[in-house]
Amino acid sequence: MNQEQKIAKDIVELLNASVDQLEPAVISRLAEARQLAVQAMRESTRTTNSNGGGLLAYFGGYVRHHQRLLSLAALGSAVFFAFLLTQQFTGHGMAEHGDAFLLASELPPEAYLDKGFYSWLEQQ
Amino acid sequence: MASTQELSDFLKQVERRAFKQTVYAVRDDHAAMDIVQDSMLKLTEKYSDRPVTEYPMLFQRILQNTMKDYWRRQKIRGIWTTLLSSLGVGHDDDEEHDPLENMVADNAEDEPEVQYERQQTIGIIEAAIKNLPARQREAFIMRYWEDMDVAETAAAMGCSEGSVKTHCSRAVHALAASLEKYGLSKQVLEKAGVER
Repeated sequence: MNQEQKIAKDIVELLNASVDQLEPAVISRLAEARQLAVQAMRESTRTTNSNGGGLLAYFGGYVRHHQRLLSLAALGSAVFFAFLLTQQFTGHGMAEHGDAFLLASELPPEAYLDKGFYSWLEQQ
Repeated sequence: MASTQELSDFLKQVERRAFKQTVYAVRDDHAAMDIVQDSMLKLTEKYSDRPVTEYPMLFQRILQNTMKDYWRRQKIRGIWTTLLSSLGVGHDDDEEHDPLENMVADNAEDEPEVQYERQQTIGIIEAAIKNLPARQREAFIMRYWEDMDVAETAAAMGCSEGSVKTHCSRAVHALAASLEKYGLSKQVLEKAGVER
């Protein structure tokens, strides 16, 4: 043990003596604080157990730790879903669907020979 | 993962030293008590899944961070106090003082002479520790009082192992110099330690 460590050791012994001289009120408050901390741990353990372990607990923990990321994902999904709904109800796709239906529908062969049909088709 | 019993035993082992250590840093018993209590709860809330062997380092780190939070709040409060006192609203008579100068041994009159001397020596050492720069005090306390190794101390302080050694060395030299100043030689220190 070198000189420095020796001095440190002597000082620490005196500091330990000062700890033994703490007022009873301080000691009692420290004990209360400790009990609170232990109680908090006990409750935290109980909550974890009651939530169930395994996959559910894993996802619970994942959600807690990635809250911001999951919020962004939820927002993105909502916007995409709203876009799909808008597309469905604006009727923009309905017109295209109408033309395709018209062209693909069965027509009698005479209709293709009728010049009036072509002029009607061009007007559309 | 540590059990509640292990946590309780650990806290019981360190709580008094943690309190004294915090008092040296913040110089206020009530604030020190709040800081220690907060640190205990933070350890439980955030690190209860860690093994008990990691607790000394984690607890010290939490304690240091909680002290820093306290100083930050004090600084903000200080700014407001200065502002208000400059406007003539408050009174600020908390002048800088050297704790070594008004160091007294409490309740010394009724104690035997040896007890009195030891009490005085402890008072001088505590005052000298309070006067150390914060980083030196942290390093000294963790390394020598908490008996943490250099690597653990470095991890708790968020610095290199070399810095820990430097801080510790400077702290010991500064303490020795302070004690010499008050006529406390190495022999007196040893005597006071042995007479416990």
